[in-house]
Amino acid sequence: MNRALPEMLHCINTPGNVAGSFTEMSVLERQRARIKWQQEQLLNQPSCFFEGNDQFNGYSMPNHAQDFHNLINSEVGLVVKADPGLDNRWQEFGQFGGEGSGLGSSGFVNGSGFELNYGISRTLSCPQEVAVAVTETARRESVSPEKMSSAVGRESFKKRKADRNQSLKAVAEEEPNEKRIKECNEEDESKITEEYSNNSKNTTNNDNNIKRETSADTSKDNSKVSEVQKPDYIHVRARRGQATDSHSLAERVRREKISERMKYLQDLVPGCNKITGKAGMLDEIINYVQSLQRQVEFLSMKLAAVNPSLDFNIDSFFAKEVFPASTSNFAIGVQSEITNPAYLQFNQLQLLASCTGLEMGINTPDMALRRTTSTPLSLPETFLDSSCFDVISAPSIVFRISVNMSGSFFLTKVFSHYSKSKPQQLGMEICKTFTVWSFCKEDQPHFQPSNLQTLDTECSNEAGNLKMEM
Amino acid sequence: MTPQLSPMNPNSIKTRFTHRFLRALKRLRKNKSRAATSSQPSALGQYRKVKLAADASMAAAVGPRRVWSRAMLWKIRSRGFLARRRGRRSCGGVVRRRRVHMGKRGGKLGFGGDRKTEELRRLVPGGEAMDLYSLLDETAHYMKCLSTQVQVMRNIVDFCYTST
Repeated sequence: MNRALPEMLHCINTPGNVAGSFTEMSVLERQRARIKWQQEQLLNQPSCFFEGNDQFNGYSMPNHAQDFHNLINSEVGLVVKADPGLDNRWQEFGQFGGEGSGLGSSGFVNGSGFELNYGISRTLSCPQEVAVAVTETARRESVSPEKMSSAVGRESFKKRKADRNQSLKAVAEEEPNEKRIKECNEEDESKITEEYSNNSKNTTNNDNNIKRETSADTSKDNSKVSEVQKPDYIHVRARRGQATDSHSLAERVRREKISERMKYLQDLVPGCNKITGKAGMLDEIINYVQSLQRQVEFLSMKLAAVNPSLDFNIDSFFAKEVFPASTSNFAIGVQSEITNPAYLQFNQLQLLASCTGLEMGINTPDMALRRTTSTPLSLPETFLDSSCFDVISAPSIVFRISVNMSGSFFLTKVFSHYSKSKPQQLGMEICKTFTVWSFCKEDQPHFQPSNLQTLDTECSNEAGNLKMEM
Repeated sequence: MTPQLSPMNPNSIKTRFTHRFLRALKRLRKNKSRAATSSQPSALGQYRKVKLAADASMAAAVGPRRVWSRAMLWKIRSRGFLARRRGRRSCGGVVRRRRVHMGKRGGKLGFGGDRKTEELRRLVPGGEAMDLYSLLDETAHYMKCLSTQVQVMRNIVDFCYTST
């Protein structure tokens, strides 16, 4: 706190360069006043008061701080009356920028007063009523001999300031009291925690607790630390009836972090915006990751098929194809911005087409034989050419082939999904079944011709629908 | 579609992955053409190799900063050892891999129980021994990388199919 005060004073000085000569005048006035005050207080080592201020570099011995404190207590009225500017400033420090008298610098002093109070309320951010309630205990504590005996310069300085404010009958009582509470935080932590929780059980602000925990062992000057530490912790607020012990606080922090992460994931996963509830979101995330993994599998399968016939030239790749400006054309499940269902279907059909084409390319002759023998349908010649697939003729072929290969399960699933008109799901299902099928293709999928017949009609119906839609 | 040159960051994960992956594919092709004289390579083996190359190049492009990439690289490097161990164990009996016990954390959240998070753990490499926060963090990153991977691979495949 005592380091913060010179800063505050400095803060009063600094507005001079912001706002013209008017404030410079006031600053000059204030400096003059301060010098006068210093001269008057020479006996009492006034430089202790302005410790750390660059204008008063002479630092004093803290041993005499207690004496100084007593002296100040006795003649505080005189001191302050001797210097109206200072008086005014002190009042305004206490008043939190309200009814300051019309001295030239009042606006800026108010501002700094606000800063002061802000700094305080940042370290002790409890409501004012609570603060008043707490001050009773704080005052009690401040009278305690233990503290009086601890005549370190800083603390006595703080108390001195508080006493000054009291003798000045500062309008807002919270400020010195809060300062005292902070002192007590430094000195006797457990005590104040206990009393604090007694006093303000309902409206505790937890960030005070947390802050106290974090800054308890770090260093002595709280305000400085709190300014530095502000981004380090997360704001957690306890509502009425919530627990305030450290465990539940930590738990709350953890939960908040997790939900923040969930929100981030929600932005990442397309179509996850509407889903509320973490279970549903997790479901969606899992689905999405699975679909992506399957897409990778599928694409690598395709690459494995196409790999031998290709001559790679990395530079040409980079120049031409790998990074086209518009990549959204290729993203089925990747980008959420694709909303054109027709294009999606087209893309997936192409996918399917090429994957079946790929299978044809890969397969050894006996596999092909098995397929043709097991199918009542004859494979069209165009099927073998995977690159020049006609889009309109693609569906029926593709679906027939997949019926042949993986049985009825696949088709029903795909069609159920398809009838729900969820293109993304369809793509996922296709990928899934494709991988399943590719892994079990060695051990001959059982094939039922009767089932196929019914499915075939269904299939042609669906293909017709598809054509209609496209 | 007119291909346009887009400004690409040479240090981006996408670029690094593409470089690595294409190099790996080239190497694969060379090996395959050498091996093709002796025996017909199986499609499944080839697929596995490509998949492995994709995974490895992705993880290597991300680097050791992330848990999932570290886990993936470790898995790829020690896959021979793991396969041997798995084979040895499978003849002895089914042994489930032990997961690091996370206490009662998952249950408290109301996330629909542990089942969902368990599933996610299985999906994200190295997710078995993470707490929930880092699991979600890793999932987000992994997801991004996967989508990048899919995008790049799709472009490569497209290029292949149009060029042939």
